[in-house]
Amino acid sequence: MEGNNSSKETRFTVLNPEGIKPEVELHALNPRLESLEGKTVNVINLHGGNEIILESIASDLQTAVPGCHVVYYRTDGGQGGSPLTEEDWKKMEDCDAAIIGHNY
Amino acid sequence: MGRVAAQLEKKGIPVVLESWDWDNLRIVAAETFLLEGVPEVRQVFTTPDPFLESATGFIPQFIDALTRPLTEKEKQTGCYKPPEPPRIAMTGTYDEVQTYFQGELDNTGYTAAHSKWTDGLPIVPPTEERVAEMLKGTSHAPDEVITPGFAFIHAASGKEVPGMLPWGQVATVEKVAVNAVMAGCKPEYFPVVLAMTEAGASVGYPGTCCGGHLYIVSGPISREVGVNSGQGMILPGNPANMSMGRAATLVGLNVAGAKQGVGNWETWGNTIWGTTFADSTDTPWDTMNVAQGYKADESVLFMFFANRILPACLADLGVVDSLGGQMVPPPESIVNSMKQCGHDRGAALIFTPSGARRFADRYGFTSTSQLQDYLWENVNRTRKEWEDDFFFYMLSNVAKKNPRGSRMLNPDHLDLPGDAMVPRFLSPDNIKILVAGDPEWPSWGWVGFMSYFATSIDKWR
Repeated sequence: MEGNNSSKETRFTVLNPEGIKPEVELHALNPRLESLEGKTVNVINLHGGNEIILESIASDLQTAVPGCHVVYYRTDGGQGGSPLTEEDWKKMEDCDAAIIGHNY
Repeated sequence: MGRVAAQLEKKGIPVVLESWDWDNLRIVAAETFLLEGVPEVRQVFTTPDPFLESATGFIPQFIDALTRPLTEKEKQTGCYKPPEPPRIAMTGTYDEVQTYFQGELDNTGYTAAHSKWTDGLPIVPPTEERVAEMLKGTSHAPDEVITPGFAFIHAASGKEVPGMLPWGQVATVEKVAVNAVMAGCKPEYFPVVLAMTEAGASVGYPGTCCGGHLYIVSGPISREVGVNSGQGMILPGNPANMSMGRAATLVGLNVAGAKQGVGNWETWGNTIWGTTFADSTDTPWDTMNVAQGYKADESVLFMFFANRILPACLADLGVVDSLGGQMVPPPESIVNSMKQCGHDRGAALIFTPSGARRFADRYGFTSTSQLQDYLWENVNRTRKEWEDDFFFYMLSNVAKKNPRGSRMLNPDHLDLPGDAMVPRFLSPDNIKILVAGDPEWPSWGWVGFMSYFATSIDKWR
């Protein structure tokens, strides 16, 4: 029996309220580096506000792998309605690998 | 979070994301990676301590993540098609429906469990018949997809995220109708709920931003369906105000998937989450729809992503001269109050009808644009004060892109000396003026907002 009152005997067939998840094209990760020697690794402090730990990652990585060229910097964009610009992307891509720091 | 990391991988760079070791963040990151199509982005989880000063102990993990060969899973390509939810959820008694919609209560991050498909309260069972009735409130087809006009700007590409935030889930007119029924809406409210969906319809966003959606219904529909613009307009009691706001919350939870602890990671939450009222036509100025460039006979929804309403702010005793002056203080006092604005990009100044009339008469503000200009020029801080503020650093990135000499925060302001005054808001248009509340009691208040969106309700009729 179908119905719209709240009687405990009445049975309701109800519709699902969930949204529909989109299809996604999957991408493989890029091959990893055989070694960090002679390679440039960007340590990117995304949108700032997290300097201490990101600077530590950069300096400690440089100490651990002296032959690696570690470049630390903070981006100006990336949060709060301030999107990354083409220049931001070019700078981020100018490396062999990247560590992006977000912290939270 | 994690979106930039995934996108940089798609640009051909091996990436490692540094992140806190928190369950909620792991869930949010996993969903984000999948949304971007790079589900296996490597992460190194650091100690969740905001005062952590050294990463030395984590360096071996970073080196490993940058050099360890890929697994077969990490090489996976192709198309991921998530299972589509069945149209019919279940059949059962009233109590069984309520239990089912509460679902398996989730207690991730909470001291007490949260409901799965509701806001914690019982819902109206969304039967075929009730949903069909709701759909009579619009001329749009049930399978029409609603493209949200509002979204946080995509951090990496500068484009809005397709689908609804936070996970790009698709909203159809019928899905919104199901949630509107659950919330207790009448069919005549439905165009407003569809506009709310277009505005993003979310109760919060991943992060600690402490914001929620505040909706203002402006134009004829507010009178047609009885949206309260008067006394106690943000209090419970009015069916339209309450059920429309609840419908938007449910759309956010169910259609957008902004579930607590997954798509909605709010440290405290917020006192605004779907608050809905109408602006008053009893105003000495243009109503909000007209002031924002719409026709007087056009119904418009305004959404503010806001974090608090500060009603009846106290006036500075040094600049008021009477009880009336405290209730409707001089402009200088409003300026001083609005300087308390936190990291908001704009603010809506709200007068009661009586307060607006007295303020306009006594202080000579004959239009909302005149008041906007006054507040833009006077709600300010010194450049030096700004320099020490992280949120101004964020705001300055927006200002850099605005043309010099414009009536917007722009590079001219950033070049000023440290003791020069710099506007608090992005532009005069980021200060909205509206009238609502008790018609007879003179009062005022304001609400800071981080984002703003407006859309026609009439197009959803």
